[in-house]
Amino acid sequence: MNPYIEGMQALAPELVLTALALIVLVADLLTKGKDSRRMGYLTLAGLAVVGGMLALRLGEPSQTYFGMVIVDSFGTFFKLFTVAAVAVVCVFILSDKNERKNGIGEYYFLLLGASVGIFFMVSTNHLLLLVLGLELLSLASYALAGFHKGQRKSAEAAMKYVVFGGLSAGIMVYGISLLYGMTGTLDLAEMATLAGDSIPTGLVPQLYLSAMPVGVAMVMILAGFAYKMSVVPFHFWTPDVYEGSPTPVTTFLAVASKAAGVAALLRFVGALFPVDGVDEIIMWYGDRFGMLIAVLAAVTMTLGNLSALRQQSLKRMLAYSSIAHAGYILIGVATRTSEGFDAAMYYMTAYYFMNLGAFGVLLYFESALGSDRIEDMRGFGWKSPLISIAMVAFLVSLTGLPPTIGFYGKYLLFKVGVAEGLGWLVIVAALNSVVSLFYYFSVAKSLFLKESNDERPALSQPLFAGLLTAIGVLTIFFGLFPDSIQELVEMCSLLGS
Amino acid sequence: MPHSQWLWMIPAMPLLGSILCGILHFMTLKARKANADATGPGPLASLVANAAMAVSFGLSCLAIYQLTGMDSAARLLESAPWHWIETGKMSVDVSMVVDPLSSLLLLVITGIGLLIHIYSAGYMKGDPGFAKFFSYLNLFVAAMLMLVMSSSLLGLFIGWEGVGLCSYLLIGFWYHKGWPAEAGQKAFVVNRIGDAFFVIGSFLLIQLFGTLDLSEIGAGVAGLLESGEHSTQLMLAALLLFGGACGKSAQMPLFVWLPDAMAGPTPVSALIHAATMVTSGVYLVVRLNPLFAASPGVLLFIGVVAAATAFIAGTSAMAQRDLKGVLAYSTVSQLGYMFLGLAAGAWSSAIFHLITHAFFKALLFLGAGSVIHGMHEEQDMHKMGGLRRHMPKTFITFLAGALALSGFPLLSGFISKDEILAMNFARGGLHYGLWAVGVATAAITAFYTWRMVALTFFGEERFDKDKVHPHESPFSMTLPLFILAGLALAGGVLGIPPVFHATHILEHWLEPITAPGNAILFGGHPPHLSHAVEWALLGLGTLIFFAFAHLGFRGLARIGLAGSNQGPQFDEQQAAKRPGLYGKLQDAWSIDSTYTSWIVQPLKLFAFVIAVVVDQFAVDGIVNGAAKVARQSAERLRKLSDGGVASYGLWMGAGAILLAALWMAGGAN
Amino acid sequence: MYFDYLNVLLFSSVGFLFVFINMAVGSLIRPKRNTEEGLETYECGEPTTGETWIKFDIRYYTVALVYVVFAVEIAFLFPWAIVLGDAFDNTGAAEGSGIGVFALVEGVIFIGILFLGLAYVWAKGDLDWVLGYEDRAFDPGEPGPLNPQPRSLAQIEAETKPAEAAKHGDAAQDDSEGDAA
Repeated sequence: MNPYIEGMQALAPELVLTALALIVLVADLLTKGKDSRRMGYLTLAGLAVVGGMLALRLGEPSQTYFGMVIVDSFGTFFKLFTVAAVAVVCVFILSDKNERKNGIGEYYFLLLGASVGIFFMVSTNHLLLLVLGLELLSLASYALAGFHKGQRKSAEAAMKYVVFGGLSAGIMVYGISLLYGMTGTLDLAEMATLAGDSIPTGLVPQLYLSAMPVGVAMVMILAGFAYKMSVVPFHFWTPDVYEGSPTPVTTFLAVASKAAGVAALLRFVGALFPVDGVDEIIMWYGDRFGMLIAVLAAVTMTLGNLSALRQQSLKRMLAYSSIAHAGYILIGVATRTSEGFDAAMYYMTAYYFMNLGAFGVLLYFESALGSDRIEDMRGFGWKSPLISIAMVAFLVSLTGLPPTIGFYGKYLLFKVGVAEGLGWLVIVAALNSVVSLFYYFSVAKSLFLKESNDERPALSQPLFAGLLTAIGVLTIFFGLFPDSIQELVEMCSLLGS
Repeated sequence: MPHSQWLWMIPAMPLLGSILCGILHFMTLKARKANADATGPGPLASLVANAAMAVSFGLSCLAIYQLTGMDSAARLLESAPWHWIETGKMSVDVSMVVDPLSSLLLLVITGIGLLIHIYSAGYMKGDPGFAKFFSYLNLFVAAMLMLVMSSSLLGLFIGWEGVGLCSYLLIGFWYHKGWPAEAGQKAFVVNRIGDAFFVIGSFLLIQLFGTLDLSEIGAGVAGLLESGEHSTQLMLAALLLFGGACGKSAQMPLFVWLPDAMAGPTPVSALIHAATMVTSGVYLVVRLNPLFAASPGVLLFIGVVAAATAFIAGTSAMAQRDLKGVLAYSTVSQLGYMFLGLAAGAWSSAIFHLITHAFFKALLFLGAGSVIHGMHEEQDMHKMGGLRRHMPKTFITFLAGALALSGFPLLSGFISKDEILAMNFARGGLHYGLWAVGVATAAITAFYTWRMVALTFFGEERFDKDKVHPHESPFSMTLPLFILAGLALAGGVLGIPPVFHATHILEHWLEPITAPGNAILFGGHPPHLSHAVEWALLGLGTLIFFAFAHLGFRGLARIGLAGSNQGPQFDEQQAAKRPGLYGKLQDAWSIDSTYTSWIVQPLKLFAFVIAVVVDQFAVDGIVNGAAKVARQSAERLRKLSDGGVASYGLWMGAGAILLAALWMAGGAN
Repeated sequence: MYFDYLNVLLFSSVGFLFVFINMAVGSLIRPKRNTEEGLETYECGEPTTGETWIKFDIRYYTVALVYVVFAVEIAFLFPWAIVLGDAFDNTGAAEGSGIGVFALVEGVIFIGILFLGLAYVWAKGDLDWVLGYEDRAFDPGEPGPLNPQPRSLAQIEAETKPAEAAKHGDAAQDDSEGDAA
């Protein structure tokens, strides 16, 4: 068969997603933006199709198309992750009482566009396509962050996001160009194995030549990943943008966008600096790169948790908490082993459940109270017990206590950290978990242990409440029976086991 | 072997009952909120709870029936394991197991539990927290069943903590009175000390055996002994687990919570603080008997602790005025007896005494509850007397319990106690000392039991007849009393002494469980006494009973039986004659107050210092100071950079440079 | 090995120095006349009015963006059109790839998507230079915090004027504070 046609078949989910985005855009145009909820349902249906196509692909062997796009289980895992996250975000938009009903078809279009970006970002070893995917995701995200044009905060969020996104992407692309100049290729797999004869190309000869320019390039590229994952010191945009953006968009940024950054970083580290590298010098500098990431992890989780401690706004607190969680995930990356990567993927899954849930509850309170201040939620646990109990499950999971999925995720990370000689980092992470207990439980305390002086009744949103409860149940279910997800993660493992 | 999945039902039924009763409680609260006089659906709770207990009891009987049909060496029912975590060296599988040992405890828990539930329906009638009480009680039973049925130390620990929680909730059930809440807290805290030992001991076991599975640990001990390695760790693990047992089973030095625990409703004292929960330490030791058998030093230590506990608690019981106080100290003393049996390697005898004690002590507590109920919540024996005429049914059954406790020949208490003493006597050596203390305690037991009977039921009526009208309790309360009385009188048939040439049913039944421990400790041949010596010991027991029961009863009744009012005067005479000793006994050798002044108060002072000086001044000062500095510098930064963006960019650049520096810091290789 | 980068260093330092030396030379040799006219901003002989920092109308950017998109499209389409013949004939760079029809369809889809974008911008009215709310193709929906409604010029002036006056006062205060700090 024609290799182009074959490639197109392999890219069917991406194509369907792109077509879906265009259809939503045109359909919204043709209906003159009346009742955009229909666009939401259309998007959900399309996402279901894409999800089904992806699920059927799980476990298939890895293949590369057009020399750029890798179709493998690892990518499929993160694509499924994205589809599931965007679907939940769509439900959030549909359930948002503060959102307009008309003329917001672009909301879904932008989300789908961002998803296409993520799809390419997580399924390539080619730095050019990586940057393209990253930029597509970023551009859509900027527009999403400023979706509530009339609100000052939203506009400010978009502005800040653009400035920092541009700056970080610029740094990253500059680093990539340096790397390209040195190694003569943009393909990571090729870069790792290439050994020039007369002209030194490839990473190994370059490292033997001089590690300094490579180091500068690495740090610059790391800036791009760190920005997407909101890792210190590229996290500054996070609290402001998360707070200013509409809550469904914040959810998208915190879950799907961050996962894309994690996936790309895993691919990058896995290709260039695996723990059992092709050459002695790769292992030597791999250790250093791992140490760099470990230091970033320690600083990130500490800064995120300490900053979250005194936040009054639940939204801002969750923003800082998401920075802290990026730090935890980096533990798995820093080990540069298959087990570490699996643990990071598992933690990402845990993060998916607990953060979608927590942001959903936040959205619920914003709808019910018009406020995201923790203090205003006093005594609300007795008014909407189901959602509040689910919230407690998410908080317990975020803290990393049993019997929740977050506990098992953290357990895996800590285990692999200790096994790979990052004991000091695990101790820092454990101390951080203790710190996080305080601010997570201040929410639970506010919900259940304080008297309400607010006469406003609970909102009746049975579908939305049902979704949140289901996520809460799954958070606990997978904490009790972690096997199924672990099997999935192992099947989709990047480095193989 | 096929899995018996239905075993999960045994603890699940009370759990379900607990949840239903909890819902009923909330419905009641709601109904009461709407209308203060409404009763709501609360009274239904007793039906629900009793039904759950009855089903659980029926299933337990079924389990035993199935066990009896099996080959004696392979008596085991097991559910499919609940697979939780398996990682590296450690695996955590929890399944429900019924073997000869747990089957006995199942019967005790569900059987006596059912009787006490029936009793409670009468006792707690009209209490505003009626449904809540049954919810807690059912939850307790569920946790206790989990404790004895779990195949894994982790499951056992879950039950262990569960019963601790329920104990706390039930002791403090009448929290609005103030002191029950404090007593609950004390029980919780003291138990926590023991639990810390338990957890550390479990960690040691994981390190030693790589598993928490109880049978695997038991089987692993022999291998470890043969290899001769890790004997210190083995000993330490046994010692730490005994530390846990000390907390739960109220042994020295952690027994101080149990007398206070009597603040709870009396059925709670009967179920939790006499029959079931407090014996879980004994269960733990028997369950892990190979581990303890492997460390004879630890066993001897247990013996010393147990003897001290039995003696100190027994003597304290002699001077109590509170009816439940006597029973509480008596329970501590009898628990000491059980550990005395364990110390001698008499595993089955300890379980035997556990069972008989559950019969007669539950009976005595329920009887005491009946008395207190009839006397309008009066617990001081000096304000009772002559009650045998007012509540004859309670009197007769209480008498049966007292006879069993004090060791009337051939009743259950006599036989089980004799077995423990005989075993210690047979071991010889240092165990002669333990035996002597045991005999002394038996004498003391007879004394305080009959003092209690005399003060409560005989002599002149010392209560205010205008205000208090003692009355017999309702049928739902007296029925359990009669059943328990029958069990207390006849319980001895489970373990008829060998001199009577009958099979010792219990020892035979527990053979598969105790064999590994016996093999390690005695090489498979437990010591036994010649018939002559046994007869002599039985005779001694009989003699002691009559002598000291007489002393206890007549010592008071010499003046009191005829109707004079001098029972309390005997106490006062003693108090006047030996003020130091009597006060000391009444205060349980001042152990509790010593703790208060030497441990609790200094700790409170320390906590105060931490809270006020360290936290408020130092920590808050530093935090507030840091926040102030941060706020001020942020303010300055803001003015310098006019909105975050530029300064953020600066930080990003600085961070990137720092990272690059880090990359180079290692130097070239 | 560091020597390889010496030419880069030389190049950048020469470039750096070139700018500064020229500026330094200029400042040394040019005449300095601090008259009022001499210090004024150069505006082709017109007298200057107002500040040089002014807001550009956002519509410039919209049009510029659309223009850039199509400029880039042309940049892509030129090479595509040139090799399309080769692709159909299976000759030249495309020899043996059999990419012919595929390449054509791809190109058409690419153009189609871009036209869709143009149509979208057009239909939404973003290309209209003078835009009133009534002209918008979309129903503006319910007014609310997320959806501010259009106001008349008089309204806007009435709202901003007192605010501006206050702002000037504030600004003066702020300045004095800043000076004090």
